[in-house]
Amino acid sequence: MTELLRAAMREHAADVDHEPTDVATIVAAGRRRVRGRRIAAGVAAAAATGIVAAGVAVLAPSGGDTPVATGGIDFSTLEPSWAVGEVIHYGRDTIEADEPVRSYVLSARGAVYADATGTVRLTTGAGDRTVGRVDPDAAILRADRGGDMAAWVDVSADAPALAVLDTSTGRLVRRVPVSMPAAGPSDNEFEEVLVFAVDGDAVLWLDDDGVSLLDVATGEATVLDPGGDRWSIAGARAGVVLHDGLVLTADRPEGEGGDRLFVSKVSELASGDYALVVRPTTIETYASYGALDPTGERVTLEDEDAYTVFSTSTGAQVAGALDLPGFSVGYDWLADDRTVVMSLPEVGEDSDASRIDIVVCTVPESVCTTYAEGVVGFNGDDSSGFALPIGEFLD
Amino acid sequence: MARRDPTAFEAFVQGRSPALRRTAYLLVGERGLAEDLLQEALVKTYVAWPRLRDTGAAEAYTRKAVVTTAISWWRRKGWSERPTAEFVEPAPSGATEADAAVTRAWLREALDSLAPRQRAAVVLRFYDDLSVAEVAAVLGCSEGTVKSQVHDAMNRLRTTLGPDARATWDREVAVG
Repeated sequence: MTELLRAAMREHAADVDHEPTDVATIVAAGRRRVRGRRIAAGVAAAAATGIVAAGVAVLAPSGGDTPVATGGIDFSTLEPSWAVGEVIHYGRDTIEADEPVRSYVLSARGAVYADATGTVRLTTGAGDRTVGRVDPDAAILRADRGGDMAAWVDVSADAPALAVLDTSTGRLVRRVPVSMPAAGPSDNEFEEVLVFAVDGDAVLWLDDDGVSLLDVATGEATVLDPGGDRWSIAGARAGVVLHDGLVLTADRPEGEGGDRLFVSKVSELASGDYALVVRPTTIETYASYGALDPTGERVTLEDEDAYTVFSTSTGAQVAGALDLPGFSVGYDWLADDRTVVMSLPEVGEDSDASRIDIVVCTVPESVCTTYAEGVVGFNGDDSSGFALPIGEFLD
Repeated sequence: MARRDPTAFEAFVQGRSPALRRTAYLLVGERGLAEDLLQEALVKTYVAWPRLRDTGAAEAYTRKAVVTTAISWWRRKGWSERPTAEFVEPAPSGATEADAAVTRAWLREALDSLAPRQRAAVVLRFYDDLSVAEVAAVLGCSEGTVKSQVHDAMNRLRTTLGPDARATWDREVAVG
């Protein structure tokens, strides 16, 4: 009954040229995504889908913001944030950092940023303090948005270490040696050390021993997944962990592919006994990054580059604005059930026409309003100057 | 830690890309977009590669990535069901091979007019020859939903035919 349809599709499909696939390009993009968060590679991804040209160009900052008064900013009041060059925007305040910001994160006490050389500084709006150094090629930083702790893999000394900073005091409170992958002719993107998330006193990170959890208060570290290649963590907050591919149940003895995320509790994972996580919530998504709300009950994901919000209790989508432009990614939460979204409303090679807006959306109503218009623009030849508080630089 | 085998991944890409590219093309109807779609799906496969047990699992994974990504792109780009502009009639009447050729050409256009999930269900079921259960796994829905999607798609394809083309379709159906 369907032979005609089959034949029609075969004829149609035969129109496609048999071009060789560029494996190197795929591998390069895959490596970037394994190591980092998709939002950080968002421009390249958007370019790949024809949404934008490529590259980020610094434009004149939007007007209306005011330099912060001496004495600093109250980072515990949640405000939209982004950075352009050395200027970190926090709500309607701006902070002049000592150096252009390559990547940064926010705690309840301040902003921790890395510059192009990898130098890590803490700023509270009342001056910067150098606190460490990261690999500038990755510049990965993590922090507890609602707490005091920030963490990164510090390369200041000969031996890299997991460094934990108390942003309320500006002091390093933990420095934990990490197991580096053995040198050798391999192609394993997991053979590196990185911090996934900081949640209260829990720091989740990956080294050659696998995925581990550090209790900052006690200094005790627990290896959660010795086969760390099966597991990466997309976010953690308020005791809720969003992760992929964990070995979970007897009837699923091998890790799943990256087409879903699981929701677990930090307290469950810390036992090291995955069998305790029997029926985790599952969220169908390819997202590698999720920004959890302050309660951990909802997460905004960069689900195929579109703004979405999911419940971590049910796995169901609870918000998402289809009227937003093609490339719109939620990256932070404010109080009162609002999310902060990076949005590209215009598309084209002309950076004057293609500019990023910062948008605030209500959940679950999905009513979105522009908070800051045209904070940065795109053209085809530059990829510096713009950063979001996700702890990675943007391609 | 487990090792990623670059040779195996490259062999998978080179070996399976042609078929996956054709599926992608049927889903999106544009060569450039199909290439982008395939590349995106292969990047996702690369990320998941250590967790995929064998080539069969990898192909299923990539196919699912192609389909779900296509549906997402449709949604994001504001894709909506496109009406078929006018009925297409095969001619001359009675020339069955000519009828069939014209109807096949029309079907290719009509396929583009289907709603995204219907189109995906039809491509997976009748081009990729997946079982209903396999299509359900790819689309992340029940087998009943797949049957419904396919049924609705077939009805839509048929009802937008002109009388003569519909007769050709029905003859094919009767033969099939």
